Amino acid sequence: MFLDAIKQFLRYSQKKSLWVFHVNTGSCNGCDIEILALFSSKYDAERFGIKLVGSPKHADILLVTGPVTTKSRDPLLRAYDMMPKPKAVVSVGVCSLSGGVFAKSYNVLGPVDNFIPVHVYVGGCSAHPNMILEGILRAAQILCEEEELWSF
Amino acid sequence: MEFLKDLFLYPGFLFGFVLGGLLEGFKRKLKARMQLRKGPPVTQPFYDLSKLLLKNITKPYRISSFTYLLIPFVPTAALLVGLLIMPYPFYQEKSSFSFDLILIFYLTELPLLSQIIFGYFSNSPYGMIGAARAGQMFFYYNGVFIMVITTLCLLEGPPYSFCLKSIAEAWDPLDVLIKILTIPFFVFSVLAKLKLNPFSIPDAEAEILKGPLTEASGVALALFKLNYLLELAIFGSLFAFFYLPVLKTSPTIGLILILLGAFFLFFIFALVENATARLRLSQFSALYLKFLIPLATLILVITWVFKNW
Repeated sequence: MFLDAIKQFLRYSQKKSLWVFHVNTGSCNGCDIEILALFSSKYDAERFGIKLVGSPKHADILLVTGPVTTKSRDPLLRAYDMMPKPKAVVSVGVCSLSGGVFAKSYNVLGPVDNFIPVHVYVGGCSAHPNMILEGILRAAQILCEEEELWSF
Repeated sequence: MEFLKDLFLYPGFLFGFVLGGLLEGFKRKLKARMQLRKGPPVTQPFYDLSKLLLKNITKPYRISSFTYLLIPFVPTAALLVGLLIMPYPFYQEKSSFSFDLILIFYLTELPLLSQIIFGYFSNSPYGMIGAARAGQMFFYYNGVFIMVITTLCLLEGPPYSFCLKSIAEAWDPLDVLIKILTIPFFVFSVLAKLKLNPFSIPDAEAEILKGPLTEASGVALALFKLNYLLELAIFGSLFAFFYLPVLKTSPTIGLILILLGAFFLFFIFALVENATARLRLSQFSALYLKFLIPLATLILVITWVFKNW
């Protein structure tokens, strides 16, 4: 029972401490700029313990912007594999949901969820920082409560 | 039994861990408030650390898990010993250690050495660049730090000793003047030791991801974070021992003074971190070689002359 309480606390801290790794798989940089705005003093994502980290090995949540292109597929898969479990993926912007204006281009392979499992979809062109923030917090909820993600 | 209590509770693990975590959280909160943000809760470092304990480990190929975990664990043990050989109130009366400042200095360098080894060992290009930068910086700021502690050890006239207790008890007017003169050098060298903002060259996030720790994950990263928190506690209380009359008063007030001194040091750090941007390695070495090391040496010579006159 004591061990259970400790485990519960550790899972709760997963919800309070979210390290985010950002991958651009070929977007127009619009969503990337909104993600940067999220960490500025106006939206201040750090108040929820959200931090942008440089290495996928430290990350809990993967933010993907843009449709997957032929060149960016392998880096995306490698970054996803490098992340330690439990992990969640948030796809940001309409391009990563369906391809957006880039759909059916000669080098676009398709939306992100054809390649890696996506937990939260944030729409918009470009997505609003508040929406991205809500997406990350919902991913945190999933990360904390979904039993599947903790089986490793 | 008594020793285990020392090691795990009061001057040891629990005290260092809680003090270091609160100092880090306080600094992050203060930084956020200075930028008109709300900032994370003060307990954020504890959440970060306990989250990492449950994470999976994704280590590079061709590295044994034993070494992967051993490298960050060695400095944890060293820093616990470092906490035990500091003359904390309620502890120094019954302790039989000699509170040797050189030993504390040596033990607080081990986390950095382990990071350098980890950076090269992990075979990651970012880790190697970060480790090389950390190794270059090592010689500059430690020059200043050695000057500072040598100056302070001269205060307690001949025979000179590096005992932290005798430094903390030196409070003549001349001693106070010399101590005040060494404060900026102490702050600059500790800023570089803790890799805080103007000197965050080894783990410059925008350029080289996380420097030596790029490949660390799960428990290994948690141990590195724990080492960092213990380091914060050691340097915060070292500041209080050097520059506040901790051992001159009753133990309770001494302990409160240690906490106040540590939090004041981190207030200064938050101020400096917000006001400055990251330097290049060449600017860093120029700052240290042209200004800080000569000035610190000058203060050392002046102290020597005054004390032997």
